[in-house]
Amino acid sequence: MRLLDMAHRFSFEQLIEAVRAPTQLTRLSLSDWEVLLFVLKTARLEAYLAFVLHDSDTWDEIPAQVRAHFSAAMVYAQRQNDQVFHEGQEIHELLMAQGVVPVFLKGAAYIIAATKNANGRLCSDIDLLVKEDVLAVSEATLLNNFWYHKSITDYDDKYYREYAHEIPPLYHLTRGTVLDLHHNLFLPVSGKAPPLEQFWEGVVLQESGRYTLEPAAMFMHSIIHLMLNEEVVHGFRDMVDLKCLAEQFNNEPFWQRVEQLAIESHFETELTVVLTLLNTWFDGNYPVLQPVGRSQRTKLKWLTRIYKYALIPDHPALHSVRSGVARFMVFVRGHSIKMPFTVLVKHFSIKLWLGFRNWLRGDATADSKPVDLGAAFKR
Amino acid sequence: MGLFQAKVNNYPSSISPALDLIYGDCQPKEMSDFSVNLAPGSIIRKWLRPQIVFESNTRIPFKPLPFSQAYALLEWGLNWCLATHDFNHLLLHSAVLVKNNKAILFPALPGSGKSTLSCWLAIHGWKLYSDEMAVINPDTLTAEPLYRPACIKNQSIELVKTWQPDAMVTNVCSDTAKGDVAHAKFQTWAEYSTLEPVEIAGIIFPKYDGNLAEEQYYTIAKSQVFEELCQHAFNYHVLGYQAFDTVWRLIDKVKVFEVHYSNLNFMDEFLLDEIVGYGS
Repeated sequence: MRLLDMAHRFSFEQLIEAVRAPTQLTRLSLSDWEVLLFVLKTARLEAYLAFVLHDSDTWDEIPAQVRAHFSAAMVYAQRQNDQVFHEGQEIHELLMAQGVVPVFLKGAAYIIAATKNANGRLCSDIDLLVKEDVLAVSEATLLNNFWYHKSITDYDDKYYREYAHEIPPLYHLTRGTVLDLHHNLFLPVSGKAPPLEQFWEGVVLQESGRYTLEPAAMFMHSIIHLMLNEEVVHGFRDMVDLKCLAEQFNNEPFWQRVEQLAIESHFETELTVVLTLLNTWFDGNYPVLQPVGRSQRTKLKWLTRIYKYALIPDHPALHSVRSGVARFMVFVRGHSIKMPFTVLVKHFSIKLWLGFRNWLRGDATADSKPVDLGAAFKR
Repeated sequence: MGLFQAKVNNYPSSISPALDLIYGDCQPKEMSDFSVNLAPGSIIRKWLRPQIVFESNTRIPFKPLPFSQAYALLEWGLNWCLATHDFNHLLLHSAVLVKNNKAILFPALPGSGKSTLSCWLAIHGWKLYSDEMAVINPDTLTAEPLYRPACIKNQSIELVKTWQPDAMVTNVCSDTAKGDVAHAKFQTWAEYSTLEPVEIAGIIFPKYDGNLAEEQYYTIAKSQVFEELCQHAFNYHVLGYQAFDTVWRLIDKVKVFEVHYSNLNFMDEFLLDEIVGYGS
C-alpha cells in the first residue's frame, strides 16, 4: 500500500480511443493503465474491453498486472451472463405456461441474443416486457414463484403503478436477482410512450428459445432508454452497446427499419443525436436523418452538444464543469419529458424532501439502488 | 497489501500513525489496483457525532462508521476490495500460517479465537500469510502471502502485547461492531518480500475453550469440510465450477482436523506433529 495524491487526470478522448481502437492500448504506461482501469470499472466497461482484448492478438502484450484485472472482470461477467441466461430460462417457462410471451430487453436481451456486446455486458437487473393486458397475471405468477416486492414507500408504489411503464422491481427470494417487469418502453404519463404494435410485430424467438425484440427495435429501445432518462450514469456504456449493435447489423434493411420505428414513435431527434455521436466518436458512417427547418436544426445541435458532455462517465479523473452542467440539463430534460408539469412539481417536491432528509442524516446509502445482480457480497 | 496495491487518496490525519506503522515500509509499485478514500460523512456530521465513509473508486459499499473507527474501516474496506475484485483466486475467510514451507488454513467463524491463535503462532516462529483471507491459486493449490495486519479484538489486544511487548500494534478502536479492535503486524516489508506462494498441507477448524481440561481433536468427513469451506468462501458463487473443483481437489489432498484447545503450546506441537512436520 502506498499513499499518493489524487489520481492523475485522464481525458474522455482517451476513453473513446480505447473503445475505438483497443489494440492500440498496448502502448500505455502502467500509470495510464491504472487510471483507465478505474474509469472502465466505473463506466462498467472493464469486462467488455477485457473480452475484446482477449480475443485480439494483443492480449499477451498487456502487462500481467493489468491482465489480472481483465481476467477477473471476465470471470465475474461470465458468471453473471450464465445467471441471466438461467434466470431467463426459468422466467420464460413460468410465464409461457400462463400463455404470456415474455420479451427480454436491454442487457438480458443482448446476452440471450448473443449480440456483439453480450460478452462482458453487466446488468444490474433483468428487464422484461409483457403486453399490458397480461401484466396482472404475469405479476401474480412471479409472486407465486419466489419473486417478491421489497417494501417501498407508498409514494414510490403509486409512482410505479400510476405513471410508470414498469411495476415496482421484483426480487428473487433466494438468489436476489432483480427483475423489472415492463408493459411499455416509456412512461405512459408522459404522453410520449411509443405505440407498441410495431415493436411487438418484430419480436423474434432466439436460438436459445427465448424472445427478444428484433435488432432494429433493440437498437431503438436502447436509444429511448438512453435519451429520455433523467440519469445517464451508464450512458457511455449504452453508447458502446449501440456502437456494437450498429456494427453488427449494419445493412440497408436494418437502417430502414430503425428509421421507420423512430418515425412511428416520434423519436427521430433522439436517433439523430445518437447516430451523430456514433459517427464522430467511433468513425461510424451511419445514415443520419437530416432535420427539417431551422428550429429543428438548432435543437439538434444543442442536444448533441449536451449529450456529448453528459455521457462522460462520472469518475473523478474525468470530472469537468461542462459534464456536470450537461448532466444537470439531462436531468431536467428527462424529468420534463417524463411527466406533465403539475405532476412533475409534485413528484419533485416529495423527492427533494426525502433526499434532503437522507442528506441530513448523513446516510449516503439510504436511497441507493442495488449495484450488482444477485445478492453477491453480502458480507 | 503485497499481492495488490491500494492507493489511499484522502484520509483523516488521525489514522496517519496507524497507516505508517502498518504499511509505511511498503515498496510502491507503478500501478495501483485499488483507489480508496476515507472521507467525513455529511457536513452536519462533521461536528455532530462525526462519521467516516469508505469509498472505493466512486463506490460506497458500507454505511458510515463513527469517526474514531476510521482505521478499522479502512482495513475492512480493503478486505471488501479484495473479495469483490479478485476472481483469479479462490478467497476463503481464513487465516493462513506457514512453517517449514507448508501452509495451514484456519477457517473459522468470528469469536472462535482464530486471530488470537494466528498472532500467537506468528510470534512463535510461524509466518502469518494472512489473518483474514486465504488467497488460493486454483491451478497450483498454493496460498499467496498478503501484506496485511491481523485484526485482534478485546482481551486479545492485551494478550498480544504481553506475549510480545514490542509488537507493532495500532491504537485501539473502541465499540466497533466487533468490540474493541486493533491491528497488529508481525513482519516487515523486507521480510514479507522474501515470502513465496506455499503449498497448502492442512486445514484446521480451531475452537478455543478456556475451560477445557484436555485438548480434543477430530477428523471430519470430507463432505462436511466441503460444505464448511464453501460457506467460508468469499467468491465461491462467482467462480462457480472452478471454485467447486478447487475446494474438492484441496480437500482430497490435505489433512483436516477440528481442534478444541485451551493451551496454545499444544496447538503448536499438534500442527508440527500432524501436518507440517519438523522439516530440515
